[in-house]
Amino acid sequence: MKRVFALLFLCFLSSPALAAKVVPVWTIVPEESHLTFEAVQMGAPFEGEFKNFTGLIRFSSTNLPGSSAEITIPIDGVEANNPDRNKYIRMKDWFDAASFPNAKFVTTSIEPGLESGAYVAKGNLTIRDVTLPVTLPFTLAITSTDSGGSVAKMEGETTINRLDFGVGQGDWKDTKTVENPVKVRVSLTAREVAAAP
Amino acid sequence: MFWCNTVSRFGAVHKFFHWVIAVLVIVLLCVGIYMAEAELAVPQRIQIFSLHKSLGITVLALAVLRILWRMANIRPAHMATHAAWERMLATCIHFLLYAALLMMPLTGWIMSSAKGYPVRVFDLFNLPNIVGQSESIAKLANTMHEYAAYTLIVMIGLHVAGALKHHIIDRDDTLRRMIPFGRVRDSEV
Repeated sequence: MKRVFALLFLCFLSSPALAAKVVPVWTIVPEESHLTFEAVQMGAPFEGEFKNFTGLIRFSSTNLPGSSAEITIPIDGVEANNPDRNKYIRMKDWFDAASFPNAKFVTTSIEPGLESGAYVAKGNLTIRDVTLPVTLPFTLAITSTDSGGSVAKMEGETTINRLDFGVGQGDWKDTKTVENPVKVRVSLTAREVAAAP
Repeated sequence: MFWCNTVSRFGAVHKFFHWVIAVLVIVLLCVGIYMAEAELAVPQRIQIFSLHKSLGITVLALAVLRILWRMANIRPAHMATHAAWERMLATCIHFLLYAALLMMPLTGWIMSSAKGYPVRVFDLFNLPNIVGQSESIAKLANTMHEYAAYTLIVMIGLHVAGALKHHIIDRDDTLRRMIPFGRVRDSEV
């Protein structure tokens, strides 16, 4: 009987469910992480940033199927480097922060990229009330700290079309005023917490 | 029609500059007042501001060329009917008008750059930012642009009044010599 239990226990240990549960969790270091965007208004590019975003990241380079990221981006944390822009970007015709206080990015898969340290995250991006699949290629470098933990530095960039998400309604749909493609850049620093149960 | 000025009248080039710039300036003043007074929705605001800036920069370019042309040409002489005080007043007003042709677009450009907005010229290209983003510079440039506009309106009024006075009351060639194809009674040199 004891042998049966031992065998069952061994099976349980090696089950994929448990294997997935040992994918390390990483916490984002807010002071060293940035979510920025670049858009073009009247022919002139301008940059903005979404501050105060939070996320739950599970990542292991040896267990990509078990890796995931779920990022929540409060619209109120946007900084568009101009008082008028800051006012309008939160309003109904743009991000409508009152109705849709957060944007979200939830990965559906993280696959290896072409080179070592390169990956491709595929996921669903929700802005306002629109959810669309987005691909985010990124590079990742994990280093060990003196205190014995691991620190990951991630850099990724993708381009989304603001009109796909309904960002810029009515007269703002005119792409001569604000162009449709918007570059989104992610730069994250995260610390490994522990193998979470 | 001669291209260049003579001692008794203006040449075609000078007349071209005068009337084209005059029309543009009047349009700009009207659009400017509309921009300041009308409660426009922001996307329309952006388009009308862009038109105003495009026309303004056109005036700046024409004004620079015009000043260069004026420096390279002789100026028609004051007429016998021009009294000493009229000559002085005309010289002052003309100088101030030239100054306004440069001041208005420059303060506008500074204000735009200081507010962080690009100066896009007829959807073709953007001018570089003449200053960096600064709320204090923007406010100063805004005040200068606004008050220079009011001064310009007064000066245009005096300029037009003077031209009409000479034409209707004095019945001399002052206005006629600036009109395209205007025939001047004095003998031409």
